[in-house]
Amino acid sequence: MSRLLKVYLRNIFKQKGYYVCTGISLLIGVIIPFIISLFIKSTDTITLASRIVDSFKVDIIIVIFVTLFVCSDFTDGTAKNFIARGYSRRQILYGKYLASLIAVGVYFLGCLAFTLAFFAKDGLNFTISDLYMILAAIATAVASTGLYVIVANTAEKVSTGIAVNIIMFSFFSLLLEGLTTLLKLNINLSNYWITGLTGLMGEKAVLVDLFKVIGIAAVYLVLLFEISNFIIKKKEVK
Amino acid sequence: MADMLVARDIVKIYGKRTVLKKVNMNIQKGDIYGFIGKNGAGKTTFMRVILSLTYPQSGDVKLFGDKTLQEVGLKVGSLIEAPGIYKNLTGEENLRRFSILYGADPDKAPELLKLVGLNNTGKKKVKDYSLGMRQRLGIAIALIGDPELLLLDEPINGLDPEGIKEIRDLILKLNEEKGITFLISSHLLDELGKVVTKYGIINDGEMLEEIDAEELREKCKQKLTIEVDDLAKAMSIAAKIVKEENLSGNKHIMTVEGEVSKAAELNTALVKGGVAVKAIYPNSDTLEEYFMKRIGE
Ligand SMILES: Nc1ncnc2c1ncn2[C@@H]1O[C@H](COP(=O)(O)OP(=O)(O)OP(=O)(O)O)[C@@H](O)[C@H]1O
Ligand SMILES: [Mg+2]
Repeated sequence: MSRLLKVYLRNIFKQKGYYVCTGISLLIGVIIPFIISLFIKSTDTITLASRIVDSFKVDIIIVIFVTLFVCSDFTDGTAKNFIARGYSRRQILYGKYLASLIAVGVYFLGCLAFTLAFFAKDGLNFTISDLYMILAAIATAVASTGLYVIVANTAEKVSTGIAVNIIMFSFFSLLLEGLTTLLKLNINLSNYWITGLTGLMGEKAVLVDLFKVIGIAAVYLVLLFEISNFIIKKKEVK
Repeated sequence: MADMLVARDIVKIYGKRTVLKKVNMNIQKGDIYGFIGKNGAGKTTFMRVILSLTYPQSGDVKLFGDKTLQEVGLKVGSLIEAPGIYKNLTGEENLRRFSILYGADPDKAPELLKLVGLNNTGKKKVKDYSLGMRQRLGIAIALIGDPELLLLDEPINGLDPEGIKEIRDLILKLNEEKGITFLISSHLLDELGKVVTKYGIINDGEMLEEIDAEELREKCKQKLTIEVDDLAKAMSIAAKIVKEENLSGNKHIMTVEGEVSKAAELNTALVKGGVAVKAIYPNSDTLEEYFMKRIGE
């Protein structure tokens, strides 16, 4: 497994797409807001914590670099080089997931560093509920990265993978939100969807909310991997 | 001799088509096994089953005695159809990356490149490689980590005559010096014929026979071709000397299957009987002809 992870880490970190995506994310999430903040003095102050969360919770960015990485094995036909030397489909999926998580982690740290560099002067007053918020965002990212890896690994093609993943985080949330309004529910269903779990954190986040997010994320992950392992168990590798 | 690959009753069905019909295969250590069959006979599918790239409906595969691919995969090198290579990397980077994956020394990459004649490719990305160059790189990847068993699916595909000779020599060298066992599929019989020690002939998903190269040479039995002026007369005289079922004739040519040693006797009898013998010579089936006969064409 360590050999597999080593190769996958190399694949993802030596991929141009990863840096392009991270760059775009920093531009949109940190640099542009910073420039705007220089000119427009907003009356409602955005907390540093929510800036941090916003800067890295750009699902489309994670979707693109994760899908590019996961699918490259199929588009280059290298998947068979793994299987034919005795690696199992399950190991490969976990290897890709772990490598993606590490890449997302590094991406998160990059966003964190940039946000702090640009906005720390606004004051470093973190409350405990800010910390819960950031942890919830991380838990959500861990779960949704699993979803993106699994979708890409099943789709095999980059275009299909990206398309389905976009549907996963945007369309589904919209659908559930629509359903909520339609049924006049007092809980927002889209907050229970894997990519929208941070929505469960209230204005002033409390520990119970965080546990709820982590718990639901874990259930999603286990379910997804069970389903995926079943699907890919006997899958043809071209 | 130790079993390197034993496949039993492999059945593979795609949709309604049975592509492999209870295929058996036995490869012993040191064999260079030539797997031959027409396009669509099932060669690639069989090799994909061995490598777990696809799963059979029934049958089982044992490697290195009684092991599974999961257990010994790192010592099984393979090249199936188009080689799997990272197109955005150089040849050397590809080899380095797969060396890590296969638990081999990445620093041996340049050596491997040289072995397959790609040592002058420098910084060229694989996407700019020619067909033959990709094939060579695919062979190099198969060789990573000193595998004991190599499965090569039409390895000389896309290679120039020089390349074919190089790969053939490489196969022989690895077989002789390191005792590496090979399973090589091909429909180019003559190119393979020179190195193969055992054949497996597959047709329409059925393994027709597995045969040692020695034995095959025997079986491609000699025949006598005799040119005569009067075929009918010649046939009746010859029938007294050789078995009648071995005789056949067409216009002025009489053919005797087997019984090549009877050439002198036949000649004497024919001349004595008043048949003019214009020519008499032995010849044998080529591997190609034998193969064609075997698959009934
Ligand atoms: N994924 C698949 N789905 C459906 N049919 C398939 C699939 N793969 C192979 N086949 C069929 O199985 C049969 C055997 O194909 P295979 O590729 O094993 O032949 P082959 O002996 O390797 O031929 P060639 O010499 O052309 O490479 C063919 O009829 C092919 O159409
Ligand atoms: Mg084939």
